[in-house]
Amino acid sequence: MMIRIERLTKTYKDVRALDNLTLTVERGSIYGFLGPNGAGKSTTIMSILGLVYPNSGSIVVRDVQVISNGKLLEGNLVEVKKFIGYMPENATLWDYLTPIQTLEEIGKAHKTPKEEVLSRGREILQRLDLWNVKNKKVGKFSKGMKQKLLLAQALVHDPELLILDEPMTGLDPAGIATFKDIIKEEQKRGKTIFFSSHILAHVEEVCDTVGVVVGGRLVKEGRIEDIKEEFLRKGGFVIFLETNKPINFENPPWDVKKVDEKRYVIRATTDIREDLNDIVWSQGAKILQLKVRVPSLEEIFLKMVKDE
Amino acid sequence: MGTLWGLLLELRGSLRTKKFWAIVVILAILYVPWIYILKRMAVGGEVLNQKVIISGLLSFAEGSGIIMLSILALLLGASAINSEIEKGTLKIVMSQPLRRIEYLLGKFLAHTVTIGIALGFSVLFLFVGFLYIGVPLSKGLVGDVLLLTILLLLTMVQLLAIGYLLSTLIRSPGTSLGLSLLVFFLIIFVIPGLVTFFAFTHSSSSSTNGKLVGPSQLENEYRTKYLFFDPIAQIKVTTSDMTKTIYVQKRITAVFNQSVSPVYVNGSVMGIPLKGEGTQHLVKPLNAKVLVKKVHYCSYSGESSSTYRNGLYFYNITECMPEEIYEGLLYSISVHKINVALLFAMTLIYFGAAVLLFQRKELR
Repeated sequence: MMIRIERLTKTYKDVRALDNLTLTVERGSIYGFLGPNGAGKSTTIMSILGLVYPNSGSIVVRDVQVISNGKLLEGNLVEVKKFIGYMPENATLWDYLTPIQTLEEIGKAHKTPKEEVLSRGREILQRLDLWNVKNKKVGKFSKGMKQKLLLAQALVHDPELLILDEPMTGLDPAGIATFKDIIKEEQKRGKTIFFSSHILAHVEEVCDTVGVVVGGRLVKEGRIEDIKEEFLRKGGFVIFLETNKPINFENPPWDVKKVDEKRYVIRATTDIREDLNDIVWSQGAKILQLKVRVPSLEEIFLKMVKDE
Repeated sequence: MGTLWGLLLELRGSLRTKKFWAIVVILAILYVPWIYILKRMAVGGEVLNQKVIISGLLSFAEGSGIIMLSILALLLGASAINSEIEKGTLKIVMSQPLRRIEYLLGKFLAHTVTIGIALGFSVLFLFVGFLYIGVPLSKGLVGDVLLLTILLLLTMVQLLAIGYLLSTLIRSPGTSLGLSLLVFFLIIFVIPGLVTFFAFTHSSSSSTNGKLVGPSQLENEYRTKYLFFDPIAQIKVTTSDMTKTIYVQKRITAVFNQSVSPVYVNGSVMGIPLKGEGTQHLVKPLNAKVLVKKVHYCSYSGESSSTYRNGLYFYNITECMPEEIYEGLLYSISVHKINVALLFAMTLIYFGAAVLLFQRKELR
């Protein structure tokens, strides 16, 4: 495995940001770390990088212990950081540098050969539409451009592990698409990607594994399809039914709510449109309107948050 | 390794910012008023020797000069860390493979080099100014100017360290900048003023080892004792003794064939020619010997005796005078080694405290 976090707890003054959080990121996977704002995503990520100090728990990255019983092992961390590309949330880069200079500085810190930095940097900047502004100072960049450069600096030294904190906020749809392409390609090249988001749509297409964190605890972890399915089993389909006369649902296995005499809202775990059709027909009635809403991940997520 | 990276990053950054060039310009014109004053003095007929130049330069540097330098150093330090946390660049920096202390040290050294470069410009302009008004750049003069610059650099580095401490202690750059100005007023005006006041009120009654202590001596003593944390007080003490008082005893034995009376030339009998009695003319001795000796202390200023033997007048004249000799900054530093040591030690303490705080700081 690439990252193993065990029983990580962190308190800021009297706010508990992380509460015995445990998670595993497998090598070569794309792990989507989901949760509402303030759930502890950034705190978890910053703990891995030694930017904040957890109270207890342990973190192992690439089989190297970084935090042991809440104690940071800085020497180990320095070793591990050689293999990490990190994109922080709400950060800016050096205003007075150009994108090329920025990438060169990162390359120097990682002792990446200059030719490699330049060729890889060129490729990344071109993909992110920053090549035409490569000699412009970052201070003059828009938020979206800065965000792209933040991603570029995480990629430039070709790290094994990408840790990206809310990488898609501030990007336009085209930027988001490019980002998704890039991380899929990085995965194909054998890299591991661990990224956080509070927007499920961003995660849905790209992730193998999803971890949902709420209130500092990992409430769900698994394949994205499994999580979706589990929620559907809990009652995910919402059906709106309108008929030309009242229908008598006798002990239905679903949750049926009457809006009025002829209109119903039914919640079910599976697609029950055919069953409803049968019932309506058997009572000599007609369906005037039938609407089915398959929940988005957003709703699954909100429900999980509510359950917590 | 991480230190070097941090140093070069910060240095390259500094050299690219307008702030650095503003500092260079301010420091470059630091001595311009003093050059102007020197020029006026030369026109007025004053002899511009090393003593006049350096002591004037010193009072200028320790007056308005140090005010500018202190503000610059404090402000440079006071936003060094917290502004990086605010902008988020520190997160990027600390995700690189380096230790926190390495980065802080690198950044601090880069700021030191930055100040050094800026001070270098000020010295360059000073020398150009000297050449412009026709002061020869003697070895002693150049040496003293460079020593003074090194002392100023040490002072600024300590102020920089105080700034770093503030910027790791206080989260908001605005607050720490404001506080650094408060610190500036305290250590430049308020506390030294109090210490000087007490030194002067105590000096009349105070004595150590039976020797009377003058107010400036007591002021130095108080500055060392009570203002050990204040680099500006330390540089003032360190540069306060550029002249050395030595006591010179001159013993003259001369033989005349007539009675004479000694003539004091410029307060000294070194003139040897002694005046013939009753005349204004100088009389050459038949034979004269002068013995000059440095002594520990003068208990008298002069005495003379004469004897008459075989038609000859034998004169014995002894004179003891304190002499102020300009020794330069190196001498003053050697007298006040403790204060130089304090400059170094307190810089280490301030920076060490900043390192400890930074090590524990959460870079959210």
